[in-house]
Amino acid sequence: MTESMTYALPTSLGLMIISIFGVIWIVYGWYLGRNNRTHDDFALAGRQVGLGLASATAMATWVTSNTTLVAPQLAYQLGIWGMVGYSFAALGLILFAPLAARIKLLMPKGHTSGDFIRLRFGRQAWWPFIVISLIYAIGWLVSLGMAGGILLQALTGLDYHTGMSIILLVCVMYTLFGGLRAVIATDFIQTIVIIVGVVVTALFLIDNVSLEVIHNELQHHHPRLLDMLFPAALMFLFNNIFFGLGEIFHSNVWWSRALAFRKDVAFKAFILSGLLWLPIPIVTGFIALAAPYLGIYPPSADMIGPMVTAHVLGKFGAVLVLIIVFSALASSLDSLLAATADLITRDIYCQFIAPQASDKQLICVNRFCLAGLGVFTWLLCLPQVTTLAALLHFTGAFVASTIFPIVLGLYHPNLSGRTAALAMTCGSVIGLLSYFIVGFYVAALTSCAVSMVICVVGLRTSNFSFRWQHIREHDS
Amino acid sequence: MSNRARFSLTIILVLLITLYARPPSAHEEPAATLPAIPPLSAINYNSREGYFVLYLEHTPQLSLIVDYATDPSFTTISNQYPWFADFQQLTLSGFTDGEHYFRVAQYPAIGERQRPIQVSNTVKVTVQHYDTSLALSLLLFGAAIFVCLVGTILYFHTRYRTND
Repeated sequence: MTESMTYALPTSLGLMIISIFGVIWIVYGWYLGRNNRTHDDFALAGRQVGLGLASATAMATWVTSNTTLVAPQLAYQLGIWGMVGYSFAALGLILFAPLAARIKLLMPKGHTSGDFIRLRFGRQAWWPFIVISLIYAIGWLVSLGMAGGILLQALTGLDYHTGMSIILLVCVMYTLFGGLRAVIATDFIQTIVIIVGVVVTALFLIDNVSLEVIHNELQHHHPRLLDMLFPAALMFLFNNIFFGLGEIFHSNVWWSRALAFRKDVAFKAFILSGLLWLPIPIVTGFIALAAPYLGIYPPSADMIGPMVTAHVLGKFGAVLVLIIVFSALASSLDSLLAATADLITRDIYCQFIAPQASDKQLICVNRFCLAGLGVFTWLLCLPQVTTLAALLHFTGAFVASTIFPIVLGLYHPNLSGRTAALAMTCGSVIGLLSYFIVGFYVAALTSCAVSMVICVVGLRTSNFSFRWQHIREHDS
Repeated sequence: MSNRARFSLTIILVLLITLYARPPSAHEEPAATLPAIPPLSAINYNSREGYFVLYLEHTPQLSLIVDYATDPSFTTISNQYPWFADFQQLTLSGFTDGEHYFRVAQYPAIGERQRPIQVSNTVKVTVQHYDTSLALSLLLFGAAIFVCLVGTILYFHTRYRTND
């Protein structure tokens, strides 16, 4: 067919770039992992991560398919507020900083977020928490796998299933060899690639496309994208903030980092990573607003970022986008695989199957879980059922319900396990109902609101008082 | 030559002339049939956010353009959007309240978009944005919860840091 719009890179070149980077990550992961002796080494990188690596890994993990693909998608769908609102997700990292310091103080030898919930609230709250954690982890893993397939398809025309399989395979392989040590080290390199890449892209875009013509095109043909009172975008704003907070506050990805960082580093690292992350969605989102002027209309809204960059910067831009997004995806996918495998090993295998398991057994089970998660994610990614944003916001209904139980659980001794369990369950159910009845813009918001009300009522009527020493005793 | 023979020859010649007197196109090889434009539909005919997805029933074999108009007869085409490669769907965004009409068309060449060679069926998408007062209420509601959360974290963080 004759194509007025076609792919930016030949399929073979795209495959070659991914293969080269894939081999580099796998070899590097193997190199870093060869000194892992204990499960703490494998799952928590020896708990001695310094400020530079700590900030880089936190930032790189948060720069993910969300930032590189969903931020432009939201700018394309919801305009200026979509882009700015997305950058507010940095608040999640910044507000987690005090929580990370508290986590490190309460359980310096702890392993997972599940550990804390079990010790603090007991089994009745642990069950809804673990269900929420696993639903979220799977949702995020699937969104990352899908993003890999979409990226390669948008840039090179490579079949979605092939691209998705390659990216998943590479990330599973190097995490399998190196554990969290490899994840953190590769995150550091990926952060440098992402920051340099985003800055170069922004400079090229500003040089090539004038802000005035973009504004004129939007004003004439897509006026709602410039509207500061765009209703759907206003509704989305705080929902997105609570979604981001819920993601970070509950997920073992962030807890494992807080536990792996040195005690004096955790607070500063999360503040610094949040500030570094803040401008990235603005840059990646802005490029989507140039799409109508450039005559680019994507098949699926989540393809808009790579399509515009490749169009403006040509082949060089397409290669750059491929490298940036691949790095961003890999840095999140490996972290999530490592943290979820650790959660399953510690919270399910150690609790129910083999409480006396040796370090060697734990590493083996952890690796088995990692490979299993990779295969499970691959199977769920095969039918490309929805867009990235829709999938992510579906999980928002679950994670936002954990915000208040976790914050109050870390600080307030009067919050009981029953109240925390009720808050997470009711918040998730009502959040899900709002997702289906009203729309994705209210799922996290209602979930968080319901959970907050239940926690406040629970605190008012509570006779319970938790002894913080209980966690410290168990931890030591 | 007899009159009868001359008459017969004249008739034969007239018939031959008639046979050859067809329009020039009748002498050419039959043109290769153009692939038809697949039927167009929308994944969401009613949008509350100003964005929606147009969908072709099967993979397009042609270079296509989406025509957009605010009236069903397309008397004035307000905008045109190139269809990307051989994907089956196209996402458009930023539309205001109202009824929007779309059709997919094949044009002779890029830049000559006045007379399409063939066009698809017309699809109507209705955009009705959420009420602004509802959106602002949710915004304020979200802001109130956020302030409570930040206040709680800051209060406890300061308190425990002082105690520690």
